[in-house]
Amino acid sequence: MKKIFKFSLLALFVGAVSCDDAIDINQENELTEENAYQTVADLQTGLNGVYAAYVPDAGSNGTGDVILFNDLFTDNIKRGLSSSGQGNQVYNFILQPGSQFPATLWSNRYALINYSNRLLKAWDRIFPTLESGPDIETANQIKAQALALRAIGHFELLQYFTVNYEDPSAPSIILLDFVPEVTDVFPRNTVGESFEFINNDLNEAADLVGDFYAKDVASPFNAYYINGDVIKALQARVALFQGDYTSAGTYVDAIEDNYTLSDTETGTYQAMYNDDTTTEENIWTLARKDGDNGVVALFYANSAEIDGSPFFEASYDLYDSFEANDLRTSVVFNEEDGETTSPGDILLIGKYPGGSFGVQVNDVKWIRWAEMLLIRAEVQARAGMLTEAAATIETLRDSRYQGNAPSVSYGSLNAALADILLERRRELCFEGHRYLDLKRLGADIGEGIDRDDRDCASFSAPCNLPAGDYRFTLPIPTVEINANPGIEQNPNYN
Amino acid sequence: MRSKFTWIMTLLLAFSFTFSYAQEKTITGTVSDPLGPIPGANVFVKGTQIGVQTDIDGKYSINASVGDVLEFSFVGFATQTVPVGQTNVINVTLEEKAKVLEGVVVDKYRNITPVTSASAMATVSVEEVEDRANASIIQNLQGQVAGLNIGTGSGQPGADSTIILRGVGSINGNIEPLFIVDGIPVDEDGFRSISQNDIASYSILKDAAATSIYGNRGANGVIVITTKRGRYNQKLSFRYTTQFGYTKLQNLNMELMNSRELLEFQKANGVGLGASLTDAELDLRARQANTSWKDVFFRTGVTKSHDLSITSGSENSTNFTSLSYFEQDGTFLNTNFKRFTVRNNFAGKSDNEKFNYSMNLNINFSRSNGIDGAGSNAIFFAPFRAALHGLPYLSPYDPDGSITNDGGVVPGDPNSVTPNVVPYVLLNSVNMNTDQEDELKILGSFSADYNFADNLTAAIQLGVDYSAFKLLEILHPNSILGPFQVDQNAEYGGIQSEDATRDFRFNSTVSLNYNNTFAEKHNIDASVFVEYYKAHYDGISFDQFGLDPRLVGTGSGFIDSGIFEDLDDNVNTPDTQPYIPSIGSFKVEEGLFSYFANLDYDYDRRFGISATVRRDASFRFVDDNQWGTFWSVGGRWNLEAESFMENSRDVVDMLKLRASFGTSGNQRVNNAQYSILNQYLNLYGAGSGYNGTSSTVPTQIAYRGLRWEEMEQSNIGIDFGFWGNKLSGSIDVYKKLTTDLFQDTPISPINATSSIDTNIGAMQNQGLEVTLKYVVFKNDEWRVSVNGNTSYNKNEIRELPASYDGIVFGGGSSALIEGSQINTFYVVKYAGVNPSNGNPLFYTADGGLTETLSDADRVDTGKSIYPVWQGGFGTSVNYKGFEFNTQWSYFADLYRNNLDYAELEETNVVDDGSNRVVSTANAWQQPGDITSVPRVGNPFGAVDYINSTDRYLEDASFLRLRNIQLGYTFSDKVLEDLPITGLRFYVQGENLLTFSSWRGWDAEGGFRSTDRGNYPTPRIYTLGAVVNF
Repeated sequence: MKKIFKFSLLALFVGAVSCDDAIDINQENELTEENAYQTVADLQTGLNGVYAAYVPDAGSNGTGDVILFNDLFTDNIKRGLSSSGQGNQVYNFILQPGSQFPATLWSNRYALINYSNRLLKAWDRIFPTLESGPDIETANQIKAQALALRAIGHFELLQYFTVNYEDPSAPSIILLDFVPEVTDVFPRNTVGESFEFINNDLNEAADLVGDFYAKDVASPFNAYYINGDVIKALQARVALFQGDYTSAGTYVDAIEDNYTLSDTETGTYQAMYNDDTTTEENIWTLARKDGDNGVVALFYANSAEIDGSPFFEASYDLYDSFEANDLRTSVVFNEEDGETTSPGDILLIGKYPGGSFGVQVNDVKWIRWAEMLLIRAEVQARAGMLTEAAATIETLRDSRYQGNAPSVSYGSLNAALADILLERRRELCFEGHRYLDLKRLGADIGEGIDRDDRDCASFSAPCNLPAGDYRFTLPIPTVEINANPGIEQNPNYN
Repeated sequence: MRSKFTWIMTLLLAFSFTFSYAQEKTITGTVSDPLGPIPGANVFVKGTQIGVQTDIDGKYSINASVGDVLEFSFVGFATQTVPVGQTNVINVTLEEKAKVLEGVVVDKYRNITPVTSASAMATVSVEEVEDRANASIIQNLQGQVAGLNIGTGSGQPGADSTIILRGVGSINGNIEPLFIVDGIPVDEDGFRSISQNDIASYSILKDAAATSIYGNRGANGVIVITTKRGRYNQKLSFRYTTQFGYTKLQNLNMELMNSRELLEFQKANGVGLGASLTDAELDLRARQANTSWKDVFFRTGVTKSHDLSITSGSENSTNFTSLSYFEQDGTFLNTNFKRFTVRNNFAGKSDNEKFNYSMNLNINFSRSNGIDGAGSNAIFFAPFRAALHGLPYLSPYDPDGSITNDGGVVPGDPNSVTPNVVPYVLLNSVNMNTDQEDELKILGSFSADYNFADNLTAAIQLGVDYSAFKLLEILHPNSILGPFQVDQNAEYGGIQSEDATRDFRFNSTVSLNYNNTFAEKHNIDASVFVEYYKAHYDGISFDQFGLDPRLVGTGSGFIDSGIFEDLDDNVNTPDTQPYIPSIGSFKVEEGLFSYFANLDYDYDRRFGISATVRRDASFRFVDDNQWGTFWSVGGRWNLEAESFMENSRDVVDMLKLRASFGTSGNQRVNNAQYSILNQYLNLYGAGSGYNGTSSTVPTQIAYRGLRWEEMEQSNIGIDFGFWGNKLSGSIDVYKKLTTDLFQDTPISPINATSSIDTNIGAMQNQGLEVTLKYVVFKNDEWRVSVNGNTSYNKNEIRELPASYDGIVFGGGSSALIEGSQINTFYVVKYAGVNPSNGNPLFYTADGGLTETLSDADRVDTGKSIYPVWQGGFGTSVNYKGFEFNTQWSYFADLYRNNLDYAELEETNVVDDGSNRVVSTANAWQQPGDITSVPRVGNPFGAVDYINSTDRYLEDASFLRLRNIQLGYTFSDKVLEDLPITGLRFYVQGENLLTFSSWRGWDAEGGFRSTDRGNYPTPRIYTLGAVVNF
């Protein structure tokens, strides 16, 4: 009996030392998903993070996201005054699975998609608990924006990693509408599946967005958020790449009442770039504020001036593509500091002059009415309406030129598309379009990269890359292959 | 009286057991220590189960035959053996503390005597390291134990050492052994606070049989430290020790230019001050100033210590109390260390001895005044670099002949703070700034056991390791750099940073032990344990920008953060607040839980098996990965106890074969304490969001698959003692394989990151260890002995994540390469100077020559920062009261980048405010020159050579006279009329001699990969005295 008593005492003693508090520990600074997202306001902060993860303007010192790559890989840039070799590989058409840009784009956009999916997962948990009408409306608007951003992530990956947009069964990208486990890997979905996925996201976003931040509702309106018009504009872009020109035209028409072109003669065009002013032309502008990555750092080590260590300059080829009375040159090239007027010389890039949040910080004018007009012109031309297409281009040029632009007429579809491609180059240079334009539109009319001899000599690089070259599609990057060795690579990369 | 009766009963009992033997006689005698008789000491007839204990007067009586060997032992004392001869009276005096391979090894969970131990372990008795003058007790162990690497990379007194046992076992995880002090697991980095004089013994547990019982933290070996305690029925005694001495800089093994050499070199190359001087001016300047800046920055420091310990014991309680004070100056200006410690070790027992308990309490306070910037590349904040690189033609004196405080550099003037005046800036910072670290460390343990039924004992042990740190750094507003700290245009400068942390670690173990002997020859000792561990760490910190120079060091000197100033000197812009402090606070915890069992079986002291199995859970892991199972088996065969060895008993005292195999786990998969706390969770945090908003973003992507790093180790060893243990030692071979290494693994970027740390890959260590001790000569007056140990360890990465193709290289000079050592130097081989143009030449990967550096030409050098060979040896000579001991240690086959030398021989630029070594003047000048120094203006700087080539990758092997000591102990006769019972004087020196080809101050680098402006370890000379009364 006494022994039993002793043993039970011992058992009590051992039992008193509970193991749970030693091995199930919650650190007090842990913010789990459940705690992080509890209210609609929390979801809004999550959305702020998703927006912040979309950085087409990221990069510095010779490496970057799409805004740098589109112009550097093609014919809009030459070696800068203060270059120590930045961007040399890209300019030399060296594109490998291990190259920086494919990895940057793949990683940045999938991070955007991941953040968006994490937010949407929390949304699904919180939405059923909402009761007040305003909360439900706000939540729907948040979901609309998250879906649109997820669509943008997928669409941009599709644009660069797909060989042929119009072959629905060809491999495209990995589609994710959920948060994966870290050990998960997936094969590429097809082009058809990808477009369907993107369109579904945008359609659902359009249904949910309501009058959020609509131009006539928001005050002041500064084009910084994804509203119904932005979604339509995105849908126009997607339809254009999908080859669904009719829809592209319809989406452009749907928002035409809300936007007009800025003008170089009244100075609204210049103000849009030099002062980050929101004009009637801006459909979506990426806001860049204190502490944000500076877009100027893509081209200059310090600031957008001749003493600011420009390691990239605009190319002679781009400079020569403008006609004499085209006033856009005053924005595209920084004429005050450089020697732009006597080519020979220094062609400083002027589209991002630095702003009130720092000498390297400017908003990114990401979707403008001018681009919508260029889509409309292309849709018209492809529909055989060459006269209408010419008129659309002429309208655009009139707003850009000193006085009236020369009249335009097209003798053939190819001539029209060539002129549209030229106009896209002038209008959209340094805004993330040139590589994609040559890939899509250039391939249609047999126009590849054809640099001015002086430009390619500045980097001792090749001057030409023929239309349809395999390097107009990016290789699946090594960062993905490392974890996912079975993924299908694009042709001609190994 | 009652107790005495018990002893008499025991005595009678002993008689009754041994009565039946024939040809035996009764041996009697007294067992005592230098202070008096020892009651309760064990007396065994060696090789048998026959044994008795001494009575209260230390007397014993035992039956034995001529030719038998009697073995006398007592906890805390060296075991003595005496052969039975013609005499019937054998009195022995036991010496305090175990010698190598003798005595009792006390680990946390078991008491094992080496004869019955199946494990590879080494014991360092305190007398081998006693009275040494290092602030950190761990530094004393260097070179003492085969396989134990101790690297100290700083001369700051009390600096932490890196400790590696049997090779590096993890890439990113903890690589240091577990430290147990009096049963409490303690922080392996906190040894400066423990007083040397409190230590009784160190046991180093190496193989799986020894460490597996420490499963959850024993993968890298275990070092068990016990402190002194009193004995029952012991007279009150005092021991007072004191030391006084000096610390000095070691010799600099390189030849720096003097003023004239440097100015002429500058003049020849048309740069710097030298180029602007005429020959006459140059001559004048060279004679005006020729400063050795190391003599300005370094000094002879003072070291002193006082320790008093009081020991006593009554019938049922013992007590050990000690007080100690230690103070040591660093060799660098304004660096020092002070420590005050108090210890009380109390033990008690019940009359029937069935219940025992003890309580150890140790409180330490230390203050370390140090200096930041060792290894820094920021030249204005790198004091040790300035002492080595300072320009010799700058005078350290003010016009009045005193050492200057600023060299005329104006505080806050950006134009006057140039690389040329670095020594002035640093001298100013060293004198004016504060960098102080206070540590309050409390180690407390309580243990109790109760023999509640036959053969059954229940025990509990509780331990606490509490460390409170307080860091104080002040950059004085009036110092040269002070005004830059807030804003150049702000009215006040200076920064005061304080950082207070508390680290509380609690450990408890409850156990049940069963011990029984069957049929006289079968002894079983089995235990089950439950162990709980929890650690809490929190802290607060602030940085105050802007200090009132009149009140520096106090909170009253903080400039009000509400003050607005017009920093841009523009009335049109709003004023700003420059003095807003930054603040921080954190709190984290860790926990472990385990249960385990241990079984020891002994057959007739001839064979033994020891087995352990344990289940461990770590808070770091979840689901199926949370619990790990680790086990070990070890076996031994005591050949000396076999009958066929009977004829060799004169020669062979001990010959034991051991073998063990087992596993242990490492849950600290990232080396830093309190990191990887919740890798299994997706976590979010607040960040800056789009359009100037705040955002919620993912900050950690969950990985639930994280699990234990597992180490399996096999060991075969032999322990031996010949000719009355005249020659004793042990030899071990081992192989350790770590699997499931925690390391960077690629994951798909769809997770918003492209890599995550997971358990993948394998690494192996294998080696050989030899320990020998030989008593060369011994008689009544003389005792001469030598000892030595050496170890060889080969480390090899066996497997890396597959997608890396066998090599993980992330820039810098080293890489992880399958088949090579961890962090092997992976660089381009330097081929010398091209005689035709003076440019450096490098070997391409296929053996050609090139002048350009390309990653494609990097090769695996097979060299690493960890030594392949390591060991030590010592001699000990005693003559009457004199003793003379030396202790040497060596590291061989280890390499380190010498950036100091690279910068001092740099010819890429030569006007960089740094002195040069003399050989720089040999730089290539014209075609045909054959030289080792590339031309002035060659395209590569010092850092290029370090990061990409093996030009300055140097062999850091060394042999060092770690300690030399001469002492004299006065005989009892001399002390007869004095009120003291013992007196000893000694002189000793640390690090007096070093043999190494390393070009710098200190070949010892604490397993750094690169030396740049580090704090060299000092030489220490002390004179000491020990008084017993």
